[in-house]
Amino acid sequence: MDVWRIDVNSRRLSKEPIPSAWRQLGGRALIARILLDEVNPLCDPLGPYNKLVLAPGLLVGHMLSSCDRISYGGKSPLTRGVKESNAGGTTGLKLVYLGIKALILEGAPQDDRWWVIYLDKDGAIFEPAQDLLGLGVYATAEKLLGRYGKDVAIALIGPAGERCQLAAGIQNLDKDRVPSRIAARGGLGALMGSKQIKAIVIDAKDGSKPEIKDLESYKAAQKRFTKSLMEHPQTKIYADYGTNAMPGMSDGFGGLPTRNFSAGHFEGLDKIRGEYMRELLLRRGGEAETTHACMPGCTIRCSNVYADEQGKAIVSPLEYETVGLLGPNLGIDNLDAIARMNYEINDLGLDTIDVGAALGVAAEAGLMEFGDSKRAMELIQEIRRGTVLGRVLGNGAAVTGRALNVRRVPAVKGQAMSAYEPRAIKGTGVTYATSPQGADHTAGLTIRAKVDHLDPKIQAEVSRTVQINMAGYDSLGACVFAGNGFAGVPETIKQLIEARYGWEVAENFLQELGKTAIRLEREFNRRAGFTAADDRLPEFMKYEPLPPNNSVFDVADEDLDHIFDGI
Amino acid sequence: MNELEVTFQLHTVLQIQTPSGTVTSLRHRMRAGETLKEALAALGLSVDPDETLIVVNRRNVDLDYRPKAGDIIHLIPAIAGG
Ligand code: SF4
Repeated sequence: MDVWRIDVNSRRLSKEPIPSAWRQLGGRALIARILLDEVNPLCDPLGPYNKLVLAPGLLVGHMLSSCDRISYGGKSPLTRGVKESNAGGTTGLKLVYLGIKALILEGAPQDDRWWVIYLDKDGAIFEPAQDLLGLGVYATAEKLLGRYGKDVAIALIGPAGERCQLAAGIQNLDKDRVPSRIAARGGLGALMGSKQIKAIVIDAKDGSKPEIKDLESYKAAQKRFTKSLMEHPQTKIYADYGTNAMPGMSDGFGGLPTRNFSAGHFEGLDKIRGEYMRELLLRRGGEAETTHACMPGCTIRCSNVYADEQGKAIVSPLEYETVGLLGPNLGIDNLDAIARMNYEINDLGLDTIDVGAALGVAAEAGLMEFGDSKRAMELIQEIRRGTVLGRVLGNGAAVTGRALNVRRVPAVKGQAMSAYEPRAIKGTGVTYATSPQGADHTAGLTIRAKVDHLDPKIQAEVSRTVQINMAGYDSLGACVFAGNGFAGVPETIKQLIEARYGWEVAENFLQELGKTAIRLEREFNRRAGFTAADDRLPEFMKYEPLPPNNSVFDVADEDLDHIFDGI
Repeated sequence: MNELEVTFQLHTVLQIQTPSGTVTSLRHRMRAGETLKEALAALGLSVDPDETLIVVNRRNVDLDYRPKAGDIIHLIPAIAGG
């Protein structure tokens, strides 16, 4: 495999051998390494010195169930710190088929031309993208699939990314070629927009699966992992209900963010929860699907297709975080309305979490009534039209809070929280506060732990363990839910890596990878000017009790400051 | 003998499918002082404590918990998040 480096100014590609320090890293850990090695942490994230990195995880390439994720990275336009954001779909797999360990986009265009980068075995071709400008991701993907054939993978941005809006992500095709798998967090779509790249098309028809050094051993480990995954009780739950199995659980702990993080219980829960959604979709039939795989070979299939009363697809997938931020967080209990907003936000190429949180903040500022889904959709249309208000909202919750003078803004390091209230699930609050990524549940969600989520003393330890594991999975390219399979047979991680690459790695390779990623990320942030003051939740959460627990976030600052000691 | 009534809220795969619809909650009368484990056995509900979060008053409890009158007991097949 090679590192492919593209200068977007000269539009030239160079293929380089992998530096030895990068070799045993992938995904999130590799991104952290590359950023530290090559990007000035003090640079303007939208300027010429920032780089957009695409790095598949170490396990990507063999359709190991749910392990073909692609990581994107760069200095975050949103948090102004280190950023890795990953997605499912087919981008990771096809990049690996072309032998790409990491794709680095650097420089800045000197004119106003936009490009599609077409990658195949022979290299990179820049093709004009002027005709695609302003188009949403659905129309863009359709055009590109028409132009390049149905077998390509595509990473693309919507109008929000073109405008360098800070909540813009990078969409990826799912296995059915729907551009719905978004590397959403941290504004990497804006970074791609700053390079004036509308899409990267990956044509791997002349590529090949990566070499496996010891096929027999690989297959044995794969079999054990797949069996463990299939037998895990959570696999069935995700297959039946998708991630939207979560609202009942979050609400059960009083941790379902409601009306801009002012309550943890939502009275409309029964109309948005996964159990209801499943029955609804089964009844509606047609294009509705209660279970669906985002990438080839996923046996969990947590995704879905949400259809209207006529059985016509509205959006795919409809996931918990989106339901949480556009539903209870806005006081909205109508799944059809939530699905329609989700489609629009996807099409704009934006993060539903940060936009949902921004709308909550806007409601708090009096720009909409909580519960008014029609008005919420109007506000989303402001983003599409590029009005002043729309430009503010498309920059996410933190910017919206500043612009509208709202104090209750659920964000850390400028990035909005996901659908877990940190005053009720305090371990996840610790993750939000201390993750180098900013507030992000995928960095280390603790709700599954059988602990007292309200006890402030134990939370740093719970969060630390999960954060390290998650950073490890993000470096392997493993979906968080594949972790259930690995949890039963943890030795298969070492076996798979050794069999594939011929390396010798530690028993706890997963944790070593995770620690490396976090260590490097923290160093990048330190050089970018971050201090302990950035590892804090918004102040209102310390003194504003959250009903129904009436709890505040009271994990000691000292615990936050020392969470990664000795890592 | 003192009796008390509790309500079990069933989540996701623990909801019970019947010909007349889905049962999402069950009211249950039990002896005061009985444990949750005994109550669930009496109901015929099989719950794996390692894979189920049992939540009362928004806190995790275990099968030794002794319910109080009026408790709403959430039986949540554990999942890692969304
Ligand atoms: S479990 Fe869900 S998110 Fe993970 S790979 Fe499968 S479909 Fe994609």
